Amino acid sequence: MTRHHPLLKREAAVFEGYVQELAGGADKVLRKHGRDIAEMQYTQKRTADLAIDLYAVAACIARATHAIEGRGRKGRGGRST
Amino acid sequence: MMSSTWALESVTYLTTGMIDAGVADFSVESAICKVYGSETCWRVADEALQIAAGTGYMASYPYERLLRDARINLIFEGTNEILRAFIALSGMQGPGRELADVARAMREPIKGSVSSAISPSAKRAASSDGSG
Repeated sequence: MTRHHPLLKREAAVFEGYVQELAGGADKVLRKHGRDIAEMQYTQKRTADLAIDLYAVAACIARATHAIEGRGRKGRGGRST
Repeated sequence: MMSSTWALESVTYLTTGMIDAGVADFSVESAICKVYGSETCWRVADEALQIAAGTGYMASYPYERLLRDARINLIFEGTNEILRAFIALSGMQGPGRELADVARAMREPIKGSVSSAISPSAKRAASSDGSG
């Protein structure tokens, strides 16, 4: 990730690990199936589920970073969201 | 239920923020929003009814209607299964094109430059497990 709060270091590391796994997995299924990937519906579902969950994780880390920077790590005062 | 909703809210904030920032193509992101949003809504409504137990099934409580109304979101605007296929396939378009370039360079090793044969995705695959 390009930017995250130091408090979320562990989460960001987990996220980066799974992003790499998704990239490697996508590459692997593309090499295995080629153009026939359009017919492989279970593979598509698994890939999409990974992508969806990783997008959600990225969004949560970004929002938590924003919240920590705005309100401090104790969570008092400052802007919400 | 709270944390699922918080995550869903984060996803929509991120996507709408991207659109406001002027990102040109947000079709995959909005598809993710729809899939994740409708499934979170369904799961949360289902759990709310489960918590309310038997009385939650009666029309005098709002839960059964919430669940019935949440069900249609999984179907409208492209069913979630179709959108999943769309997310996966348009997400794999970039790596797919890279791989096509690699394949072309391998077929015509004299015409294509050798350096183009080693694409970013090929390097990724080589570094990850080596099985390719």
